[in-house]
Amino acid sequence: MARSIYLQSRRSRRALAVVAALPLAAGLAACGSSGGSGSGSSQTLTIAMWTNPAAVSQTEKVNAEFEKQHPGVKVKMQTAPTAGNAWPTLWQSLVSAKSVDVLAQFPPTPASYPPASTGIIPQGTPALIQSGQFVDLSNQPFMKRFDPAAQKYAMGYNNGIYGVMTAEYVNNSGMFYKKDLLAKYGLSVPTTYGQFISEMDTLKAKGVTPLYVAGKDGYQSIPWFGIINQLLMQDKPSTDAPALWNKRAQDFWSGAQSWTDPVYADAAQRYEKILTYMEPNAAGVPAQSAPGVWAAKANDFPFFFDGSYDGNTIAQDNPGLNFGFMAMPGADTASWNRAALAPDLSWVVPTWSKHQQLAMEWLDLFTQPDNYTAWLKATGSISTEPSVPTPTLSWTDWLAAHASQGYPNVQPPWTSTKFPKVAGDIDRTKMQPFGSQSPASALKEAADAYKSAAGH
Amino acid sequence: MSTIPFGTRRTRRWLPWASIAVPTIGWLIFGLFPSVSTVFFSFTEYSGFPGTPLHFCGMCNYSNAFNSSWSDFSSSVEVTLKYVAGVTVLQIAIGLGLALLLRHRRKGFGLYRALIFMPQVFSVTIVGVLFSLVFDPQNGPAEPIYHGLTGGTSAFLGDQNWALALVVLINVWMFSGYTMLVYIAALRRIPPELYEAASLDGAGRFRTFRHITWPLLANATTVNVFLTAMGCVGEYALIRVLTDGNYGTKTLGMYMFDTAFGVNPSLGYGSMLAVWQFIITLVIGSVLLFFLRRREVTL
Repeated sequence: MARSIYLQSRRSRRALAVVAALPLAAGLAACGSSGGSGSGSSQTLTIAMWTNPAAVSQTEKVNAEFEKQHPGVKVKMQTAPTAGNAWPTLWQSLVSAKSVDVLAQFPPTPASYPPASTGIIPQGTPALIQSGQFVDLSNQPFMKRFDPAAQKYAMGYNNGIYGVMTAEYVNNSGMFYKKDLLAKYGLSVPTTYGQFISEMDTLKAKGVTPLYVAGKDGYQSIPWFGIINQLLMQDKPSTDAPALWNKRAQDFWSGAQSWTDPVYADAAQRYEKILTYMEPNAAGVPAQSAPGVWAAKANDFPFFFDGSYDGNTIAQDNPGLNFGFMAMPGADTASWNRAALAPDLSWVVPTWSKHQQLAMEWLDLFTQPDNYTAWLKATGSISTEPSVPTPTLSWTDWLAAHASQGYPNVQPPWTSTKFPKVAGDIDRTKMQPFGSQSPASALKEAADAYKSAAGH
Repeated sequence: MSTIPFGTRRTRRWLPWASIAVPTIGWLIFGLFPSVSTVFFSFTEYSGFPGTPLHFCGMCNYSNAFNSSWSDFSSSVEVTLKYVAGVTVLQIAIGLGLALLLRHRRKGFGLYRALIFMPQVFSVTIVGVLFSLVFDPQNGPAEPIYHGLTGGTSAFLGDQNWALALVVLINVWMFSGYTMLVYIAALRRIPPELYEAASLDGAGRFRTFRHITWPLLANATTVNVFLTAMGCVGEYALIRVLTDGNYGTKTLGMYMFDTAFGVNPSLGYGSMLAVWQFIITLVIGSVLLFFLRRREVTL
């Protein structure tokens, strides 16, 4: 009996071993075919980007073209929305698993690399760039299509350029406006802070709620930073911005500049005043639905703080709406009210990518003027290729005329995890009108927090 | 020959060890190793990406949490404690109330119990999106109701005074069905003779509840309070979808996740926060168990 059980067990174990080995063998074979880099007949180029429907759709067209030009190559797109931390989660898992070939990236800009003397250790993307995990693209032929200074500002570190910035939007300072609604009340597009306030007073008196903003997701940062940009830059040449932001960071670090300085008090006062004209419950308005709601309400909310990346969404949601986009007038001099440009979608190629050559070829195809023009038209982005003009869309008349006067957005003071969040940027959900804290108190809290953390 | 339950004597020697080995290896890889790693990383300024330097810094993260970053750390702990207390008290009260109402086997009660339990099986994301739409101040149904009742308006999830309370209520809505089921099971185990005796002694409903039902639900209360409180200490997902941690809803779990896995991740500091989350969970769990067990004995 025991013998028979033993034999049966041995037989069973053999059978079990064979059954167990089958999926393992199949798995290994599958790994070989999908991961084979170069020699096999089938290769998969993995590309990841955050969800911007128009951008994803247009990028997929580039992918289809790439597959046509490269028989046997399959392009796999992975996307996740920026909301709810979905994109950072996907981004981190792809980088940690080293399973992506071309990766979209928000550019770190020079502010992310404080001098070693500060003791601040860069985290996130700058840490990856510093540790040599992204390929230096500066010598790639397709980089010749771009302005080297802008690329260096966005993705540069030491002497290399570790990504190619293909999109730039107006985020901070961005404001949409309804042309017909302004005309209905005999108002023109405001160019100064005073005129802006006066027009909103007029609109309010007529029973129109002047402003709309997605306050639930923090879009009140758009007027806050918009005003700060305009007051700090004043009428300086746009090329001065990078040096000015660098000096600002140094001054914050040394204590020569602080959140309690008059310029920030002035900015806070203007910010608070402007937002008294907003929809009363704007604090509960989510960013995802805000463009659609604003587009649908053609007879209310003449002004809407939002980035230019939502222009095409608004146009699609209400094709009949006659609207425009401009930099908000946060300062008293019209010429100071320029657009703050936000470097956006930048592509990087990890050094551990198994398909680096294909990745470079894909970037070359993506940045070819014809493809890039179509991509810009679909997304509403400002062109970063000097030979490709920013396309004129129904809502980009102001942008087409004024984008060239814009400058890179103000950079935050140097901070690390040692710094409380409020040290680098005041908490606008706590400050009036969204919270109960007075602007003076919010600025003092931020200034004290920075000084304490920086050891002043 | 002695009876061998399965296999040969040889098999019998190694099979128990092999059986233990599988879950042990699983626990070592997926339980112990990440936990020890988290404690280790909490002493570094590691970004979290393979290939980037560890930057060992000793107690720097712990020191920062109690010095320069104290305001962020303390406020997240405060929000967490409010959240745990709010959800636990309300969920126990509502769960018990529902159990008392629906404990009997009557026609239609099964449907009500199923409906009340149903939110538990929904994905947190679905519930979060659903309530975001309900509390949308522009298009949601909550705003006209609120306006009709109070004459005022509210930004709801964007209101410092409302946001945390609403997240607590949504959590309670989602999970009070589970609490109800545990209480119903316990209520059905109470001998009916006790109620008959109380009735003969002239005890009213309140006295019967106070002196019979409530003491005999002590075990169920321990289970419910402990599970609810422990489930809330690390709450992250529901808050992420509803408020993204804005307007006074940033719990320690949210703060930890944002720091370790957010836009500019710092796994070192995030690990330190995770260690604190573990310590707080341990303390709350131990204190609750101590008092609830003592209460069980006393009652």
